Amino acid sequence: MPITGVYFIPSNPNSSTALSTVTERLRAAFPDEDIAPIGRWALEQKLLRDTLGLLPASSTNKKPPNPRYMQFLSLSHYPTHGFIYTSEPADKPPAPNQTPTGPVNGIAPDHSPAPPMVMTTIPPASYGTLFQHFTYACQPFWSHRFTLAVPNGVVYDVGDFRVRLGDVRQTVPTARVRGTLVEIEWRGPSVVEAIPVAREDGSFGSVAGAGGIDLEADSGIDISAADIEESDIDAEYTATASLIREFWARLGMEGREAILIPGVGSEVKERLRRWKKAGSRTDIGRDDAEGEPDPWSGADVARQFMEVLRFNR
Amino acid sequence: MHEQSLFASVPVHQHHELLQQLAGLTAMQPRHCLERRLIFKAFRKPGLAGRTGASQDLQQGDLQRLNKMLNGNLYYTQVIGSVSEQDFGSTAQIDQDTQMAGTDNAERDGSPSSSYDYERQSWRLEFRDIPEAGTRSAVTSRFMSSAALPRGDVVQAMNAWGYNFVTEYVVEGDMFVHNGIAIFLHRVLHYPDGGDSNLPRQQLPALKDMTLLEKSGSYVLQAFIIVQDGSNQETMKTASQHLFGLREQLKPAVLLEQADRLSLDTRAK
Amino acid sequence: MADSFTLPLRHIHEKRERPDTLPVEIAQINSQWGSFRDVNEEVLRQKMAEEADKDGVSEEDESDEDATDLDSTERLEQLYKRRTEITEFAMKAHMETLFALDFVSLLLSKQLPRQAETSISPYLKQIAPLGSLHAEVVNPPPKPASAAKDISVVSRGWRIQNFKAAANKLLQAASRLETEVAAETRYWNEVLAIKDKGWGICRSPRNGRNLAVQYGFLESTPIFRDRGLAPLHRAQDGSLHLDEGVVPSKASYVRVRVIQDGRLVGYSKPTRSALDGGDTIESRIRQARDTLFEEELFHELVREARAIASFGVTTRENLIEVPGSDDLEILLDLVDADEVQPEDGITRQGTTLAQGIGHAIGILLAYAHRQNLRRRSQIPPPLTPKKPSIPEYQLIRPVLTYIKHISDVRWVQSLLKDLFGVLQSAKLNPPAYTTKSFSIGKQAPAAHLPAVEAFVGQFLAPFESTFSGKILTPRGSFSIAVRTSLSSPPFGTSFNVSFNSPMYPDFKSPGHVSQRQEVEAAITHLLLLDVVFAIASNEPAKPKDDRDAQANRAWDPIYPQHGELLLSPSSPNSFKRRKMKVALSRDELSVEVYKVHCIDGTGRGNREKRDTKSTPSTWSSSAASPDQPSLMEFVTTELSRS
Repeated sequence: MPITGVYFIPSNPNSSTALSTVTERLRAAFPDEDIAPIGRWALEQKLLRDTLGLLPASSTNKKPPNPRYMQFLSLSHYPTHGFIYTSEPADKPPAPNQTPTGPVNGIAPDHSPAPPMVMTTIPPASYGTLFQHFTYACQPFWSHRFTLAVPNGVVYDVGDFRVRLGDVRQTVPTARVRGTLVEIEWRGPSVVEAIPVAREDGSFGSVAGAGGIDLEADSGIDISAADIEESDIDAEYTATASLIREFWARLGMEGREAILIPGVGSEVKERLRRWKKAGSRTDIGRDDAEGEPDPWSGADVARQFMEVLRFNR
Repeated sequence: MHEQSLFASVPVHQHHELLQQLAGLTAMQPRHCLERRLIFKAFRKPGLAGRTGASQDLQQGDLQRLNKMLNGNLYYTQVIGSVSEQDFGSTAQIDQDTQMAGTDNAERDGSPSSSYDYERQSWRLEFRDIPEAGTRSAVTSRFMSSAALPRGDVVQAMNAWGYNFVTEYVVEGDMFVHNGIAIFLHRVLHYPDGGDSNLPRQQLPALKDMTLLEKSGSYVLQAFIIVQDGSNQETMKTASQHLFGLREQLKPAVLLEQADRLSLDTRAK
Repeated sequence: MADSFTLPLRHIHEKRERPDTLPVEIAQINSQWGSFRDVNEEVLRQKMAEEADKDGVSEEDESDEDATDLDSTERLEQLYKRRTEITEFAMKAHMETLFALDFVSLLLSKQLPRQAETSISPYLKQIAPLGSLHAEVVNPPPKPASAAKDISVVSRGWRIQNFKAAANKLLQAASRLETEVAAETRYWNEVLAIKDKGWGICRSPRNGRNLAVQYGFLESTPIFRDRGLAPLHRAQDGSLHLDEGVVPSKASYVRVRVIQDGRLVGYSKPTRSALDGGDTIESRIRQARDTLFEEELFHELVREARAIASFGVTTRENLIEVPGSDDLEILLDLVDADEVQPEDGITRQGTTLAQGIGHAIGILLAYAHRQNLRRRSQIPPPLTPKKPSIPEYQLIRPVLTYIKHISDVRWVQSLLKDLFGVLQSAKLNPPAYTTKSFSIGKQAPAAHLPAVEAFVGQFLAPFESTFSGKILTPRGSFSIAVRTSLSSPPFGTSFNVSFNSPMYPDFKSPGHVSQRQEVEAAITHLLLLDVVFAIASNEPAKPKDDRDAQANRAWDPIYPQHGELLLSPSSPNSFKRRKMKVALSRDELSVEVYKVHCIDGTGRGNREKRDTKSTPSTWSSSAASPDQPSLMEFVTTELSRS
């Protein structure tokens, strides 16, 4: 799961988008690179809001509770699953000692007033089915607000970065242009990439030193589970974020940024924890690398996309 | 999607014979199924429905629509996970955090497959609406949806989506398929320790300790067929015709009939 | 049956109680035939013959009469006459009936005038008024005793006759029932015998009163599945016979023929000889089953062949042509099991291949049946208006994959054998290489699958064979992975050639190649480099004392990729250098030594000249003579010569 950053440049409904400007600036800022499209990408987001929060607050009532959102996202570069990002319920049901699955995220302390969001990834077949289910059976608390899409984005490779550009169009309820999305992906060496993905049965491929296939070959870093701590991951994210910010600064564009938002990196840390746990086991090392794809890949970038695309109206 | 189904009650003494009859009819061996079924209930914030106020920027039509939505139905829904017989009665999985390196791993590795891993449990969300009223057809027809969920703990996501865990039970039975119809001969098992937990179980008790919901041990025979597009009259008709055909074929053994509509009401009051 | 008792049905002839029976009969015989004195055997025989004659003659006479004295006109005349007679008789009968009707009607008119009026003739109505005739019952005079006795005797006779007839009928029925029971018993015994052999017996779905035997395959395509059930009919004597309309009349099978270089070298025989079982019902069922299976097999083969036409498979009306590889062609057709096959040109290898393919496609069809069962046992997908299509079975593709793969593997084997043979003939002693044939690709451990399905399933996966070995260069190695797949892209065979040659880090592995020539070139090149390295690192066996200066001299690989090595001049001020060119091919290894007049020794063309003192040497595996010096000896010799 690479470290990414997402920028959104809003535009007026009737004016042209910033897409051509970004492309031009990209060419201008990196004259040495061959900026040619290497592929296409697409995105779709459906946003639901809590039905109650849509009602105007009555004058007698106190401050309305925080709005709650449910966002469905599908990305063409993560075709094996879709993402659902939902606000935690404000008044929790009487579930006793519901332990949060992850520890407090150290990357970016949560300062936002909105309740924390829960990330879920689902198989592609469930994507449409679940959306239909919520709009059919959960009308009292979920109301579909709009659907956004990047129908045909463009992918560029710029040095150690991969850049995905695309215009965001609203398709439901009315068709209109919303702005331009820029995803910047760091493709250089990274500790994060070195953590292997747990397999179906919860075991891991042979780790470094076992003499098997080098899962770390991609990143070029030779590490073992004991070498990495969660703080290393935090540091890695922060460092990469500054690289991405630097890259973005060279373009000189104004936009809404989403890099170190709450929750980013939690799947990576979870993976690390599982890896460390598995590292003490002895029964690892069947070296068939192909298994089911990591259901959590892309969760970071999905969070970032949904962060910038969470419009109120 | 729509589900059309017919039901029959099968007393326990007829169970074995019917299994054989169904195996002969469908020309296949029964597929034994064990399923965990978690029941979730959609929750509504109390006392807020019908709240109206000065319309700031909402059109009157929108407001009406929202109010209508707020007063819409809420439903129970099930989250179903397939389990195997080995998953029951397995010893509690040792938390590997407590057992650090240095201790002997041999005994733990001896039978790693027999332990039930809640974190790896696969789930699917199964929703059924109340059966359609006033249809002339003599089958139970209801709106449904089925969606795979991520593995492991679903409660956090379900809570965020607006559902509370209520209780859970187990269904055991045998599945046959004939002419596009799934035939499920099953019965409901309760957990021995009752359903006072607020969370789904992490471990499963021994299968023999499970208690029957219906004390006589009788089974329910459900024959169902799922139609992709419920608005397509042609396929809906084909589906019910298939079911009627099966009903005729099974007539000497059991009588399949429509279920009482209100007994299948999934609406949360 | 000790308890059974028999009830006599026939009338029992009671003994006449008259004591004078015998005298009466004697008197009767005397009056009829004359005195007993005249009776002897001869007379009796004559009598019998006469009687026989009389019967025969009389019968003959009648038939003769019809046959002889009738010619056509007479016959016609007779016919008319007879017809007139018949008409007359009919008229007369009609008249009499009418008279009788009139009479009865007139009689009845006394009691029922209205009814009688309708049937009375108008003529009679005119001449006789209604109700003018009356009838009355009168007591007949008592019959004389003799007449009464006659009547009782006659009626007694009648009764006895009727009893006799009834008894005959009953006995007839009993015997018929007996044969019927025997026939039924035989029928059911035969049915049971079939059932005991394991065939499924069920009620015929078309005709509920018949039994049917199930010999087909439940998982076949519907048209073949429905043909797998034949009604069992009962013949008159109770023997079973299969419904002729359903059962294929002739045994046929899918014949596999192997054509090598345009010549037929092998064909498959019917897998099960159904004909040798005699004409029992079981063998008929078996034959029906086999033929049905073979017909379905051919049907599915044609279906698949059409789908994989892109591999060069062609279908004609009743023939599938599958081009294999290396001038190998497979022909598949459906023929009668007893068709006579040519015998000339058949090789054992070809027959083995044909039989193997014949068995393989059968097994693969059975596997496809199992997969069908598996598929239909799953919870069906939601009903949609359009029907899901069943993909073609994999029958030809695995076979073809196998043929292609084995051919490619053999080619690599022969290539390596040739090359290593050449090296060996030059006494280079290359390390042995290992072959791992048909290592099926990584298989997910399918615990839930039955062993047999998992086993057959392997043949549907791509085939992979690996050759790997070390070379003379230390820590150097090579590996060739041959992978053939026709079920998923990339189709065909691809070779993955990879090297590990520490001496030449720039020399990259070619990776995936699809042509044999490329593989040959790559491997030959690697081994050439290896040979060059071996020459360069060759230490003279014993350094010669008188040439200390030259002890350290060695062949220097300047252009290893061209197989060129250079020997620096013996004296520092000489421009003359000696160059060795090594060439390696499948067939031979050749080494030549040139003299070069160039400062760096790289010169070509005019600047290099074949060294006349040294003869070029060639090693080939075919013409290896034991007294030929080894390459290293050659090299050392050359080294010392300069």
